[in-house]
Amino acid sequence: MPDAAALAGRREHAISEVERVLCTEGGFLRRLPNADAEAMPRRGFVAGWELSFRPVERIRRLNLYVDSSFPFSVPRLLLVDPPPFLTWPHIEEDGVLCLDPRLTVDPSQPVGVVQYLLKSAHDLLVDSELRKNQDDFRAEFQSYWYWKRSEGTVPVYSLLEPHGPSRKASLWRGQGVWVAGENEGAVLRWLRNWTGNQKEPGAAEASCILWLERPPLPAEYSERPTDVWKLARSAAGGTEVLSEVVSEDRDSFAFILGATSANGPCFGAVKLSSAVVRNVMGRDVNSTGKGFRRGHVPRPLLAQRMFNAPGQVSRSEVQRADPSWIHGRDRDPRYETLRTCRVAVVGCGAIGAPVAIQLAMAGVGAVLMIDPEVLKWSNVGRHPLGAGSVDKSKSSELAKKLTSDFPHAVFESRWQSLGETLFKEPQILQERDLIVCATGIWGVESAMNAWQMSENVPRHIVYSWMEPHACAGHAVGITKGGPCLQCHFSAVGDSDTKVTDWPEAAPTSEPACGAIYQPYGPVELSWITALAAGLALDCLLGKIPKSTHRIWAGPRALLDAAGGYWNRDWVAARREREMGGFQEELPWAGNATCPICS
Amino acid sequence: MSRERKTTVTFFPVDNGDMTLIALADGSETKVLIDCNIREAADDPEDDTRDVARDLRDRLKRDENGRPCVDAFLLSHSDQDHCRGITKHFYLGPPNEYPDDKKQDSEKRIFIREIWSSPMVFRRASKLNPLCDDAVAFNAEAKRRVAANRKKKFSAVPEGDRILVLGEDENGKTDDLTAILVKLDQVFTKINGSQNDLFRARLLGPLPKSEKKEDEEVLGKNYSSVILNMELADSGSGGIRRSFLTGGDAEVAIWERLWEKYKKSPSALEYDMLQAPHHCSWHSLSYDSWSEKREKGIVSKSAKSALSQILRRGAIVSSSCPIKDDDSDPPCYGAKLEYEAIVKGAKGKFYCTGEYPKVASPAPLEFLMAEEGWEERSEGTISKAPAILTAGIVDAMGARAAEAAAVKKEGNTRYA
Repeated sequence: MPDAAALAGRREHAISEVERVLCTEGGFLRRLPNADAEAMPRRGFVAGWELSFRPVERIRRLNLYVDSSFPFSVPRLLLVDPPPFLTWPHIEEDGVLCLDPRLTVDPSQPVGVVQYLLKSAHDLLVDSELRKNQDDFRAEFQSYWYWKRSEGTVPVYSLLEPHGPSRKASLWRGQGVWVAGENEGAVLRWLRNWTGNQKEPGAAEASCILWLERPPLPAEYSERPTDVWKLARSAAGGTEVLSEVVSEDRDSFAFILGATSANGPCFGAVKLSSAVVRNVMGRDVNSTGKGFRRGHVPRPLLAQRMFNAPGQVSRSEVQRADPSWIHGRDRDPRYETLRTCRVAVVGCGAIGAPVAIQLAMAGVGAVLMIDPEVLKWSNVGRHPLGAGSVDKSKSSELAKKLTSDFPHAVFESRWQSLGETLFKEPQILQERDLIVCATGIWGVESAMNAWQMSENVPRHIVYSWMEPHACAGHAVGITKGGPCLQCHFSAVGDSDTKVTDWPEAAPTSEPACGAIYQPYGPVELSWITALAAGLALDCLLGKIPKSTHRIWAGPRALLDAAGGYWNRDWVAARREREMGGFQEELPWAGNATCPICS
Repeated sequence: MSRERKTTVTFFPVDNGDMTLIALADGSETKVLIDCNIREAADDPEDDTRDVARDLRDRLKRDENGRPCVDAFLLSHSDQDHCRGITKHFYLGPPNEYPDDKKQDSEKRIFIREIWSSPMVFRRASKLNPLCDDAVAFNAEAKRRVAANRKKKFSAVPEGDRILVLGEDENGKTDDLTAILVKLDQVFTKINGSQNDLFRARLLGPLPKSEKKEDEEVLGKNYSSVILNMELADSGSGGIRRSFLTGGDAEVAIWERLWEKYKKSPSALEYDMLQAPHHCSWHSLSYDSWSEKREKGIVSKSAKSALSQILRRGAIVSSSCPIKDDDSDPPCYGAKLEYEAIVKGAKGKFYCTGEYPKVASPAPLEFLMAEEGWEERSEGTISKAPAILTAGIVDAMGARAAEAAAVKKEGNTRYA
């Protein structure tokens, strides 16, 4: 890796190359004074040149800039005399062109990079002058709307389903953020989850979403109340929905605009504030109710008056917070299945807790967490809950964290053992689509296995555990009716699928009764939690028709460092297993002598 | 746009003659050229004379048609050392007949969007001597533009047909030109038909035709010229403003009259920069002959007073050959001493274009507006305007870049 001085030398050399070829020899660029290059501190430019294009008829002046990372970074071009902002797409407010955010460059060819950019800029300006790229405003509506948001507005978090038709909705207005959802219950529930029930959010107000045929161009963004009405008229059922939710009791009214762009659904928020009219007595009156007793203005007339009266319109950005966006940005087909799934995680330790989090991140709609233990300081180094949860219930704290992190989903907890749960409320396990048992305790696992074989229980149970020092890990997905967990375990919990052997089998103990532990780190653990979470998701997505065993074998160096050996039988089956560092999938074969399922 | 751009005044080394470019720091980069003196030697690549035509072109913008252009061209008067080379380097004719669009940039003649000309100056000069070819051509172009304006009833006149007539002509010949006429003492702020917040100029000369024959003769013999006191700015409001007084070759009698006229309100003559009249001629300050009387010659108090309204840290520039302590005039050593005395009192500086930066190799003398007075800009910091990138050039560049695989479109396919 070159040091800072070497990088600076590389930058100066690249700048010289550009100067030599494009300035001295070509005469196409002229170096700008450094002060000009540094005039936009936010951009961090360190050098620049000016140039002229004639894309169609007019001469266009551009500046080419490089930052301190050049030639490793992509130079930027600035249109010196741009048309009014948002007349042409791909030109930012300060005139900098947005050519291709995904461009990668060969740092050894700075001149070639600049030549490519000049060509791209020229093509963009040609298309812009000929108005060939106006649809780009629609395809990237979200960005342009954001740039044209009104000063002082707060973002709107949208929980709305990302599709039409135009319909009624609810909006909660807070100090720093507004939240829009399909109904008041959904909005307030989300808010309570998000804030951890710290403060009662109050009420949401009636609002709506207008679903437009296509995203508007910047020139069509609402500036006046009549513009809003015009937009509503362009949306099927738009004026009717607006009429249903306006009220003469409110000085302002906000709603959401939505449309499907070439890049997916997009949103913007509009707020309409009535102009204050003062009567001859000097009192403020709301002219929308003129001629009617208060509360008796027909809604269509009220809407018509509101949107034809003088008033102020402001635009806010909308940030999607709906689960379809969060879990795969509308593009992950697995989410539609996962959002309806209900999972229980038994054991919220070093494996169960990360697995629960990964299932929540993947979009599983409801997770129940069961664990009788509290978090100890010794757990903190490899448990997703930190110091703030020490001496608190692992399951409760985990549910609290997930509820706040994923306020649209449902997380419950039981601070109790599996046995208590099965005894007190077995139905909360029976109604799950999947149970993940991550206790590594044979008593719990064998009870779960016996329960699965005898009761009306979920189709899949995934068991996960690790071998000493986390040098290997296992995830077994037991399918209802298939070979059971016991098939590869002795009556006292010895597995016949061991990957590693150890000269001293006894685990390390803390200076306390029963406080045994295995020294291992969070990195090797992450392979095993991914193994278990992956198998759990596959079970939910219907990809595991038969009981399946997944093994992660750690790298040999890890095993050697910990003083272990590969299990002789396991290695004998396939010699290449000796190197370790891989994942393997095997069928969980039945055992004719299994006392549980045979 | 936050980029800083400075208003500049550039004096080109054209020997005894004038060629001065004002570049305003507005968004349109407005350029006003005062006179031109591009000698054949300067055009000859084999000759060592400074190629001032190239210096000028390097500083000009290109218009929407790719033509090098000035927004306004002021001809102070018709002497050859103020208009030499105009027919060769500038296009004079109807704008829709500009013939050089298909030529290379370096061969395109400079397009003049608006001419500033004084009929009275031409009238006085032509009575004394025949006009040179360049002056004749310029005068014809001025008349063509006046006719074009009349034809369009002074409305929607296109660039290339525009003209400002500086000062009234005799016998009411300019009475119908109100829309394009700037009367004596009038302040105007438009350049090329548009209001310019960085420019404000008061017309101080030529003085109108005198009813007295003798007086009129004096004015004619004193190189009647356009005299403008221009206020230039670097930004529309609250920024620096500096005055630049230019008076062509106007000589002593004219400056005396101006002092008589303005001595009670001398601010009309105040300047931060003065282009020393008539290339630092003794005759702008005295009726005597320098070669005959040298230092014993009498300096006109009134003329000197008119030319002494310098502001703090002001500059006086002699656009001339190097000034030697001899009998030459212009430039005149005695005049230089007088001007040096003027600038000394203001803690300013006297410059001679033929000596800048050194006598052996003069170069354009460019001034930036500064917090106090004017700041010289060394030649090394001045670079030529870039050539225009046409579609063909850009396509070829794009093809080379593609061949070299210097970039990968949408190449960023790894995420973190």
